Amino acid sequence: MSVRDHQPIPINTFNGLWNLGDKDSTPSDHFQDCENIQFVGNSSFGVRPGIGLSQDVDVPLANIKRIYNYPTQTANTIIVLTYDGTNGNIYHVVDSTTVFGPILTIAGMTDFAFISYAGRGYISPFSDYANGDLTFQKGLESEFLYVYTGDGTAARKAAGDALTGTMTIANGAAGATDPGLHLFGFVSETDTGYLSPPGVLTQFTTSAASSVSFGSVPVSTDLHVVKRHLVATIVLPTFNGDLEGYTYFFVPGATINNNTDTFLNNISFYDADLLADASHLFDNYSEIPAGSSLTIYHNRLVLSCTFTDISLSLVSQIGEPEAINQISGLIVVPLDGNPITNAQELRDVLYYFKRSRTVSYADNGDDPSTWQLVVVDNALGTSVHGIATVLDSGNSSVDYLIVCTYQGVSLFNGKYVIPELSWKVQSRWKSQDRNLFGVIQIVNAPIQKEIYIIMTNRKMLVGNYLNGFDYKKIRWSPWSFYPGLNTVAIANIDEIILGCDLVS
Amino acid sequence: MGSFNITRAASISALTGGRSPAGTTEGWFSSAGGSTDDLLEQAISSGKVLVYVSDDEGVVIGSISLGFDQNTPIFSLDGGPAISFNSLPSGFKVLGASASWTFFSAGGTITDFIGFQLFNLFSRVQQNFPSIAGFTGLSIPAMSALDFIDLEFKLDFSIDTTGFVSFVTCCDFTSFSLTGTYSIESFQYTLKTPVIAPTTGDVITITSDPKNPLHLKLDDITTINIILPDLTVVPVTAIVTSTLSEFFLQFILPDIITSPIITIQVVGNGTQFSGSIDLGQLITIFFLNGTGIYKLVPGKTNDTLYVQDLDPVQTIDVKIPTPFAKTGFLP
Repeated sequence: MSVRDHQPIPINTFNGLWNLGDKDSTPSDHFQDCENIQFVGNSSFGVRPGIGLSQDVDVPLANIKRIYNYPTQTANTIIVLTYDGTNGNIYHVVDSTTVFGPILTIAGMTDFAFISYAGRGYISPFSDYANGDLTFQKGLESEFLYVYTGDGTAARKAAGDALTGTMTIANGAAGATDPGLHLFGFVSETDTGYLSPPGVLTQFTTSAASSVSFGSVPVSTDLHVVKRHLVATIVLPTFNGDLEGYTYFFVPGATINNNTDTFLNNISFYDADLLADASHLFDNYSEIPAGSSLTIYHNRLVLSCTFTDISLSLVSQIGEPEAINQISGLIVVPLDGNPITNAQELRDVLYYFKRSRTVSYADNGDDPSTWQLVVVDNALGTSVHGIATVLDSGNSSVDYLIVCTYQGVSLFNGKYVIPELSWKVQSRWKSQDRNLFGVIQIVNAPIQKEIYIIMTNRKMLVGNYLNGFDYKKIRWSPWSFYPGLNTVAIANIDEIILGCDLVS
Repeated sequence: MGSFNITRAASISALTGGRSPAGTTEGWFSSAGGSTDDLLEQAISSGKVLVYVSDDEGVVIGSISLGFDQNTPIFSLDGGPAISFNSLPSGFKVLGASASWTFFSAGGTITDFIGFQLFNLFSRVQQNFPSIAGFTGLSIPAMSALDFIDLEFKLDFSIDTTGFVSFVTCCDFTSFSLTGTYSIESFQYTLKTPVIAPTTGDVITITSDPKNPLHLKLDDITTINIILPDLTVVPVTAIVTSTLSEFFLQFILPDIITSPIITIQVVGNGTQFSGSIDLGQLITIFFLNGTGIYKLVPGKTNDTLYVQDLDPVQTIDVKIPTPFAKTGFLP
């Protein structure tokens, strides 16, 4: 048969890379191989867009390890980690011409977890550790959770210690209290709203017709303290001498609104006014150990995988991300020798991920330690940056998660959808070194209808789902750049930001 | 245009008769003494005296050969401090030069010659001196600075001292000098790369415009050097093709380049220019420290990278690396 007799095979669409099994099995509308192409419309493709400079400053940041979106109360900014081989430095990049920092410098910080809450940034340094042949990530040894207020001042350790010292208490001007023995103390409040454990605990017997005045009230050595609140017990019929053994309440209206005054005079209150419990503050961490994962669930900060407890998760009080109870705020994901790698809320459920396991907990309205475990999947999990963030939220997508597992990129809607989204590039995905899965980072850009994945080879795998978000219709293309990629983020709705390190 | 002189030799490459520290034993010595340094300082220096002495009776033969190299400061430009060949300004060209000396012999009859063999540009010059006399002057045709240093300078003589046993034979070479004039030439050329930022294996092309009277004659280039930031010199070889000409020269960027910023330097053979000329700098992509924060720019057809190793930091446009798509197997 002559060439003239061959039947033409029209190729009307190009559906991206096919990297599954034998190359000869590649469908005619797919690519055996491709690089640096992007899909245009439903059936065409062209060269990927070029990259431009994100910073317009004399000394742009170099050696970028990690970028997170940092939505402050007034702008969408980014938080950037650079690493010079010894120290990790975190900068706050407000826009192309404004950089704050370094706001935090820690030796050995090769990566960090970050979550934004109420305009503040919570930073947890972590790094790689080896356990036999396995390399995984956990909180940096002897390091802590930090809080950054977003104004360019250095980040500081979250939480804090109770006030120390002594104070004087005396009857004040004519007023009213329930007469009898009370225990008094002060709780300091920082500029981020953190309430310290009650301190300067002192007993005093009040008189019915007198208010109470406090003198020589210690000031805090923490420069971020902005208020000190009076706390008190109700009348104690008997006192066993244990100052911390009783329930303390905030005294309404009894606040020193600075960290300089040393007196609070003429406070009148009745025991019936004491409603807001402050006793739980005794059990809070005064310094919160660093972990490798941060997320927000039901208005609680969730920090997981500390240096000493790789299956431990610390869950804060509602609305108080720095207040984590050392007893009732702990969740221990079943120990299996693998660390918690990620945590994420989806449809009101808190999911924890290890590298090959997924479990969930649901808020039952009680303390986190009482939440019930539900095993979701005993084979699939993800890595520290393996759950897609969406747009510039730095958080999960609308009603599903896109999760990078060992089997591939999977949709997760409470269960992993099979086949996985990356089914067509399965060979490429599974050829990656599992010890390098900590490098993988994924973001979802619904505006472009693309997902961007930093692979272990520090190149990018792009999935275009303009034709549909399923394993058949998604179109894959690898992208490469001269510098090695470490991180990807989305700023300003649809601006794809890349962080590059030296070529490895 | 300016004047230059060679202030000293870099080495004594050959010596017949040995050195004579005291001046009373046969051998060479200078007016400053008999050490090697003294000889080197005094051998070529106007007004100084280089002496061969002997108290032997009979035929005394002596010779001294002076060596030169590219690193020893021997060139004095316009009376300035001596600099090395490698430090000569770009485009240094010798316009003309001359050698001169004065010879004086006492205590014997010269029966042979004083030889002057300079840089192979001259056949051996033989002058017989039947009487005690001086000799001055020998012009040197235009030559390059490279000629001055690649070859050696030699003085030979033979004197019959028979009958003069009561005297010390003394042969003085005085007021020896190598001087000349020079100019700094500038040439037109173009340094081309196949891509904006080349990498190992890329072919770099140097071209000159034939219509430009100031064009750099690329066939007069003896060496192409890549200068790294630490001043390490990496010589590379030109690609020999049919297109190699006065106007076209190519070489391949070697794989030993480990620096993002390199300087391309060429060395002339002296016909058009001597010394070296820096053609320009190249920013190589493979080792480029392009770390930083970037953004995807829809519609942009190239990548723009930071060049973090430059101070201040600069940027460079590079092509998008090898976009391609290979369709599936078609039955």
